[in-house]
Amino acid sequence: MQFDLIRTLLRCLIAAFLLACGSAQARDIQVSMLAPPAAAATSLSRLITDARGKIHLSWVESRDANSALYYATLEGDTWGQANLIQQGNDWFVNWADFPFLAVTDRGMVAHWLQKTAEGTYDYAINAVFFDQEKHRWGQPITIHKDGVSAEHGFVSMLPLAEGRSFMTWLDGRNTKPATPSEPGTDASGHTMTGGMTLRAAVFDQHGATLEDWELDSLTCDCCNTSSAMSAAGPVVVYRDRTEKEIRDIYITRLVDGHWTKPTAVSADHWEVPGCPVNGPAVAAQGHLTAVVWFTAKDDQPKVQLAISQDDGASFGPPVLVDQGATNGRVSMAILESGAIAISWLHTNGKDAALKLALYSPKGDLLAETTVAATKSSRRSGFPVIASRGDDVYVTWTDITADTQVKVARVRYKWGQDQVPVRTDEDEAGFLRAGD
Amino acid sequence: MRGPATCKPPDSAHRDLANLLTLSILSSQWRIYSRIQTLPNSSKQVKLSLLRSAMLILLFTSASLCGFTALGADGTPNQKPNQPSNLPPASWKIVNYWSTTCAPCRIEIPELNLLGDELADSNVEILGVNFDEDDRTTTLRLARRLGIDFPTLTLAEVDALGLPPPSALPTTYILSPTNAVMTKLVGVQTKASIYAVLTELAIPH
Repeated sequence: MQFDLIRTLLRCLIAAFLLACGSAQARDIQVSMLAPPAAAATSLSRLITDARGKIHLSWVESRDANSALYYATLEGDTWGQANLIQQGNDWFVNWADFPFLAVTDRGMVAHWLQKTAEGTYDYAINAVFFDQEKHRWGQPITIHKDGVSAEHGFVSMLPLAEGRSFMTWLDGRNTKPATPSEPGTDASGHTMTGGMTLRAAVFDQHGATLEDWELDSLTCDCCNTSSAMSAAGPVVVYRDRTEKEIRDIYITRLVDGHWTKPTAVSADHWEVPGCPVNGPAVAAQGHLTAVVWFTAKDDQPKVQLAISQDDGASFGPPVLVDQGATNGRVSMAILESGAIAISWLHTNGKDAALKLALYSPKGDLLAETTVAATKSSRRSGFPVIASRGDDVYVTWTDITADTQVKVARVRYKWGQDQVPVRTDEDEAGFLRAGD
Repeated sequence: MRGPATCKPPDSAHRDLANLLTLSILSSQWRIYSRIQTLPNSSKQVKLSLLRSAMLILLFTSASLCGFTALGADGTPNQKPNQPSNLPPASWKIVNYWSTTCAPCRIEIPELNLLGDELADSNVEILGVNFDEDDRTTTLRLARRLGIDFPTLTLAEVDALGLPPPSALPTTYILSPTNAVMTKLVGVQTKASIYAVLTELAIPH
């Protein structure tokens, strides 16, 4: 009897404590499903926000051997018509390596992976640029000029001024030996002696290469890259690979026309002689630059966040976002308020929850919610988020019946005593309303 | 290289019967196990041991009836010459996850093919899993293009094994006849590296 009374009192105390803590969190999180413009048999969706704040969705529709890349633009809460970018029956379509769309001030650019005839699983990065004057997509070009039939992919893009675009990708040109019969090669001549490289280039609005760089001569083979525009210039994050098979997340930055030496965002020291197929995500706003990534040192899966206040030059210690039951597949956006939005998959066997969390620029957790129930299967793909104002838009592939692209909008309503505010005076901080 | 399939997998009625049998066996085993818990400790040891043996025999019988429908790269049931159409239920398994995007996976495939040939008469079977979970037609087409000679499991068969999805590729699991994970190998494997592990684990090969 006495124990019951004590237990009840303890529960009341805990509840009161949690309620008190709750005032520092978003009071209400509204998750609204948006009717997607994509029909059945669609997947590989990606969301981007252009410089004017418009949200665009791209996706791939697969029917038999044919693949078609589409995009649509969100007007209010309704998607505009689905626009075909390109289609083909010789694309390399993969759940982890999928098309990117960038919208510049003078047009658009989109890419897909084109199988090359010479190799059995070699593919090139082909892109088309949208000509605003002629109001049509131009002829496809291959963005890398190596002429080597090898693996090229895991592209990320950034729009630049005057219709230019920045692209970074993994480039397997060095993985092919001079003679295909060289020992240690596979059936199509790939070898382990030359490593996967990270490359980047800037293109004009018609697709002409203006600049071209090799950023890293040895990277992980099959993890997506990510790029963002900081106040100091473009930053690229990716999964590195050292001679000792350490596969941590690295960053390199274009500062004053030169790429900085790649450095680790966090010294996880994940030694793994294989590829996790689980790349990082980066977002930037002003000098604030944030990176989220998956790691699994000692078979302990984790999603971590690191924050930089100096354009990615240095990062604070990692913030643990999730651990144990997660398979990563992260995405990131920074909201108008300066809050950092992160999405990832929290797994429960074959099921998974698509999680979304908001962190302050100092790394404090502000809100966390489940956007949708999904599957941990690779077929559910990599969810992607983008933001407009302080709303977060999330896209993923639902595989419960057919495969179909889904989009949700997540809107936060804050308590009166805490509104996330980003000011010029305190770029890196959240100020309480009324302070 | 394995020979072409000549036997059909068990029909669905046969498999349903076996599934029913397995379920009823498991249900009975659980009831017996619960009763044993109430017995004195000395009796428990003997009866638990008997129960385990009976369980293994019955499970192997039902597994034989169910049939393990691993398929070859060409989509037909894969088999060794002069053996039943289905995998031996009590075989040790080397389960290799591959992906077309994974260069090191492709490097190790010829080694695994050779190993499969050499282990053809043993109680150790090599099985492939398409990490990318493509549909069956695509998976079999990719397996052919990759030159994989060993059987590629269906998604349902992978689910049945209950393996945790690997956090990096390539990953190779070695499973006991009861599908317990004996070890997980990450990175490129060779014939020699797998033989070394089989020896270390005292797995007859």
